[in-house]
Amino acid sequence: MIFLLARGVTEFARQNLPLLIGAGAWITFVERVGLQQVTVGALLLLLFAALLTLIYHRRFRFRLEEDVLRVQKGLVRQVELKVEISRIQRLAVEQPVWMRPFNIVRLSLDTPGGITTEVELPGIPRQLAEAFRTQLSSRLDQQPETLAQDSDTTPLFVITPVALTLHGLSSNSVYILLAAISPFLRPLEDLIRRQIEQPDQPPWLQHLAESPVLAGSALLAGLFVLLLAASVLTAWLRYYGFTLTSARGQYAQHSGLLNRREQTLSADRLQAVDAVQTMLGRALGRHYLICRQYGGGAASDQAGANFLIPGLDRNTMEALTRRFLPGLDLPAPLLRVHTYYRRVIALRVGIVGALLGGGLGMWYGHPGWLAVSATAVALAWPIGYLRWRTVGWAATPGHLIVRRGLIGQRSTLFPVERVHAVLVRQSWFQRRHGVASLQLTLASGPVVIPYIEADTVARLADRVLYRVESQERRIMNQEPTHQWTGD
Amino acid sequence: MTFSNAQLHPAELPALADIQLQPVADGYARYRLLHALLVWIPALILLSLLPTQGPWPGLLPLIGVWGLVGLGPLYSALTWLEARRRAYALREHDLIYRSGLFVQRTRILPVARIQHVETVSGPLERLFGLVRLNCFTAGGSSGDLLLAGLDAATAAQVRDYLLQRVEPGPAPDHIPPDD
Repeated sequence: MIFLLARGVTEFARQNLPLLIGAGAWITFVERVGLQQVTVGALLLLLFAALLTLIYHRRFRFRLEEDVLRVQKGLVRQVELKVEISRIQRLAVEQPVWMRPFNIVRLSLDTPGGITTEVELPGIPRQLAEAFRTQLSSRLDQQPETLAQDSDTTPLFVITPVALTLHGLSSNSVYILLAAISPFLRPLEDLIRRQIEQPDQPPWLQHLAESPVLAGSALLAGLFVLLLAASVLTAWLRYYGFTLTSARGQYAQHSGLLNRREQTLSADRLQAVDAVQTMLGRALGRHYLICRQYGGGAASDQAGANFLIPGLDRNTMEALTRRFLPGLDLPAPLLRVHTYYRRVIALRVGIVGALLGGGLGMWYGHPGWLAVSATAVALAWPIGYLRWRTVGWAATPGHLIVRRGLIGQRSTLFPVERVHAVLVRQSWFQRRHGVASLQLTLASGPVVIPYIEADTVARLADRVLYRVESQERRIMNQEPTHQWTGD
Repeated sequence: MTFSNAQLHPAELPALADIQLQPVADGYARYRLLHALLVWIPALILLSLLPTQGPWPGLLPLIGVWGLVGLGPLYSALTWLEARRRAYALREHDLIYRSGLFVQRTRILPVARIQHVETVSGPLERLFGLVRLNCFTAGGSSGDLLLAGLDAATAAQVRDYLLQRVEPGPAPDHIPPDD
């Protein structure tokens, strides 16, 4: 119950942060409210929260029946959730550091219905969670569509400290941290400026104050190093001891320094695999993989809902990708899209930048804004070229691979049978030049191959539809049919 | 159980290019034209009544007046043309819908991927006897297919067929379109 209370309070604080900040500001400015009143108010609120948590705890019930997990919960409105076990696509067991002395864990599971159907069992004994997971695995084994893969418990991948550090350096946590601290940069700058302008500072600091360029560079370098260190620390906290195993058609990962997390993914629920290389990852030769499931497209890569395998070198990344997508033939190099694509991108960047700069110049009546137009026009072609160069695609007999990205790169690899809808898009420019764009929608989100020959698009669409529709017919009739022989 | 494993040549696959698409109902273009006028004209009238303040006094009312006399009819005409070009086809295993004037989109949805089907019609659509058929998939909004511009009888037929394919079993005799 204490953990439920702690979680409830932190969740409330996280979701109502602006409200809390506003209340804090109000208390600060209203003189009649003193420390005593605030303490009494906080204690009353805490008492109220404890009462609600007690009711929630007493009403929370769960039971694993024949093939259904039943959960009853709710404060005012009682909700009963029934989750069909065969529909579970991801199961996660987390043990935050404060739960460790009590040997209890938090168990959560996802179904293809999206986040609203996520079920969480907060604070159950570890043995119960283990028994629950074993029971789920044995039930899943009985499902006819479950892959009968090996039950070898030898890890598929174990992260090394070097790989973990490199993942921290190359992950996008740097930008997330930068965005998080950006509101504090200005006050921090003012504070540092005031400090170094004090007369009794050491000589090197006074020298720094006399040279703004040097001071700015030192500040930026220091900030960058700090962010990198924070990013590495985040990676160590999140992925320390990362181990990937496979058993009975399920993949499992264990990781975490303080908060221990275990995730399970059903192999037959896997929709697509994203192989990602960030800008720093390209320099350090590091990749990470994300196994996409139903509805997993909206969450960011580092979000807990995603099955992410960090700190991979190229060979390991390719080997694991082949493991996740059996029968995948990785072609090298990928095909490029038509050169009209770079022309269109360059034109878009140039025109939008020129109009933006010109418009702002006219609005403010300052010719300096025209520099924006000039920069956009100058950068339009290089940007168009780089965008075009990084887009690539390949169609193997059973899979499709689509790569995109300007600075970092992301390749989506998926079995053709996983496609849910096909969209062929042709603008008047594309029709005139005999090219088209193909959008393939997966359960995890859409994938677009822009600007390829219209004939190729038509052939590819026909082939994808044939594979999807013949596969569905085969599943429905339980009868093998024709085999595609490839282009 | 008979087993077949015949080799197929890519040219033998059913081709999208060979499909004869059926245009949507005649009333759809008229509905879209009326809809465009009902949305566009009040918006431009409001724009022309805006106060004449700001860096360029009178610019917004000017845009409103010119929009009213020039862009309004152009927008309506384009909407009408686009609606007339919309077409669809129902194959044994998929549903195809083409839309767009300058950017043409052909969306193909395999019937086996449909989770459920919904028919919707607003008051203005009912005036023209039109129904929208919304086919939902597990792929999210980008995977769904909205087939607009069907007359009520055709929409019911298509819906019955799709429902019969999605859940194999006896098809209902007739399901009247939703109000």
